[in-house]
Parts: sequence; structure tokens; C-alpha cells
Amino acid sequence: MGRWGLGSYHRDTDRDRTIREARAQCGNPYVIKPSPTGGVIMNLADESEASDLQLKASPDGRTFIGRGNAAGEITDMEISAYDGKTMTVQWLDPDVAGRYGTMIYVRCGPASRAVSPAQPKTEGSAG
Amino acid sequence: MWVRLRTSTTNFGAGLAACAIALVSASALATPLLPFQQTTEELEIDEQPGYVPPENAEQLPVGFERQFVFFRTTEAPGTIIVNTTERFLYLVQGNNRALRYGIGVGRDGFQWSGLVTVTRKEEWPDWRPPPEMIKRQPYLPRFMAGGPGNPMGARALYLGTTVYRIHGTNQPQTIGYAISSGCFRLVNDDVTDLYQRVPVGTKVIVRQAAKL
Repeated sequence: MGRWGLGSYHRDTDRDRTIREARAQCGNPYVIKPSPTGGVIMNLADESEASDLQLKASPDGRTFIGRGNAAGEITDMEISAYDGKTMTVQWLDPDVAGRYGTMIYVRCGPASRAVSPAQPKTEGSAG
Repeated sequence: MWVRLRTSTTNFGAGLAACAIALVSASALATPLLPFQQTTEELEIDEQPGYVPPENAEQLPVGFERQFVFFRTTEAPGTIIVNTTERFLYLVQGNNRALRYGIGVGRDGFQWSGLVTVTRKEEWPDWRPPPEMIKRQPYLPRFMAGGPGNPMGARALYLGTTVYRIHGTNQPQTIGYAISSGCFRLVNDDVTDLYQRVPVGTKVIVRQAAKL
């Protein structure tokens, strides 16, 4: 949750630079809010209206954000790395991934206190 | 992606820099206007970050392809002259000739006219969408590193100390139109050609049509 600088890149050689640039964009942050259902309010790709999305864990330990309970749906985004300050996200839809590349969220403001993110839902759990 | 046309009054608000009115060049009066240049209809098209157009999409309409033309001017060879109403950019060659490129003109490109110089050049420039675009498309990254599919295209020529640029595009269908975002855009093949021809320090003249 919170305010994030948001950047994206396609080439791995641009990753470090994109992280710096994303941090510089905290003046126009992307805001992630908690949802009433225990998830997060975020935008899926190409959707101007934010949605109530769930954190979902797959049996092999991967973490996704998306609609519904099934982890790894085509519209989901996967959190491929997260260290409390920087979150790396990739879209599962290859068309979307090809267009937006790897998304980098850099937390804005001072280093965060220990924040408990919404627990990812495992497949089959009640919504 | 949706596309719609609407008529623009071209009055973009008191908060923007005032536009100086310049006379239309003699060459512009002599050049027949193509149908989609007749009005100030603005092509409202959202930027498509990451979209890489097919090669055949870069084929420009007749008259908008890069070509040498008769162009009478007192400006020195190597000068860039942008005529926003015509949607053309001219690179003066001397001997009454110019290399003419078809362009799309964003709202920023209609806000001003005058004389600047190319102060910087960049290959595969980064893109930072403006706040008003982020408001419409909040899912957009606030920074996108340069590369194919980047809305800034293959090259950028930065003008003076302004935010204005001559740049490429990943939407070649916008060439010839007034568009809602950006400044002066060329297809990537043309902006790469122009980039190779002009050094930093090149004089750039932007001309807007006289308004009654």
C-alpha cells in the first residue's frame, strides 16, 4: 500500500536507471490502496478504472495480483521481486508484457516501517 | 485503442505560453493542401506505450514521404523550418531546395512559434508522460526507458531550453494530423534520417499560420 514511483523498461541494462527514474517520479506517484475485501485497489493494464484485486499465491510459491482467486490468470501481474522498497512486476499477458515491459514500483518517502501486505490467497481459499 | 476526430479551436488556455503569430511562408501558399490538412481537426489518440507498429504501417500517405522539394527561403542551408499548418518540416538544402518530412503536430507544437536551436540529441529517448495523460491513463508508467515501442520513437532533437522536441513515434498513423500530445513527431525512419543530418546548434524556425 502507499505511494510509489512507477517506471518501466524492456532491456535489463535499463533496470538500475529505471529504478532511479521511478523514484524521481514520486511527485506524481501511483497510489495503491487497501480494498474492502482485503486485497488492493490497483489498475490492471490498459484499464483506467482501478479494481479490487487480490494477492494470490500459486502452489510453486509465485505471487500474483489480479482478479478472482485463481493464481496466474492471463490478466494477472506477477511480483517477481520485492524488498520492501522496490517491487518488480511483470504482466502475464505476453502482449501486455511486450508493450509495457517490466514494471518497477519504488516506494516514495522515507524507508517504510514494517507493513504487513495483504496475505496472498492460495488457490481454493474462500474469497 | 480508440480514435476520434474533433474540431479544435486551437485556443489552449491562458496558462500556456503565448503564441506569436507568423506569416505563412510563400512556399506554403504555393503547396496544395492535402485533404486532411484542411482543418484543425485534432486526432485524439491515446499514446500506446510499448506498441511496435508493423513495418508497412510506416508507409506514409502520398505527399508526406520524405522528399526533396522546391523551397525558396533566405535561411541558410542546414536550417530546419517547421510549418505546423502544413504538417511539414523542411531541412533547407540551398539552391531553392529543401528536404521535406511529413510530421504530426501535438498540442505543444501549436503553442509557440519562433527561433530556437537544437541543444541536445538523443537516441531512443526515454518517455515521461505528462500529468494530464497520467490522469486519463493512470496505469501508465511515469517513466518508460527508451526503446522500440516507446512513444518518443527512435530519436529526439531537443529545442532550446524548452520542453519541446522533434521526436519519433510508434504511431505512424498520426503523421499529417494535429494530435493531442507531444510536439513535432516524425516516423522513426525519417527522424533517424534527420538526426543524422543535423548537428547540435542547428537553427530551428517554427511557423504557425496567421490567424484572423
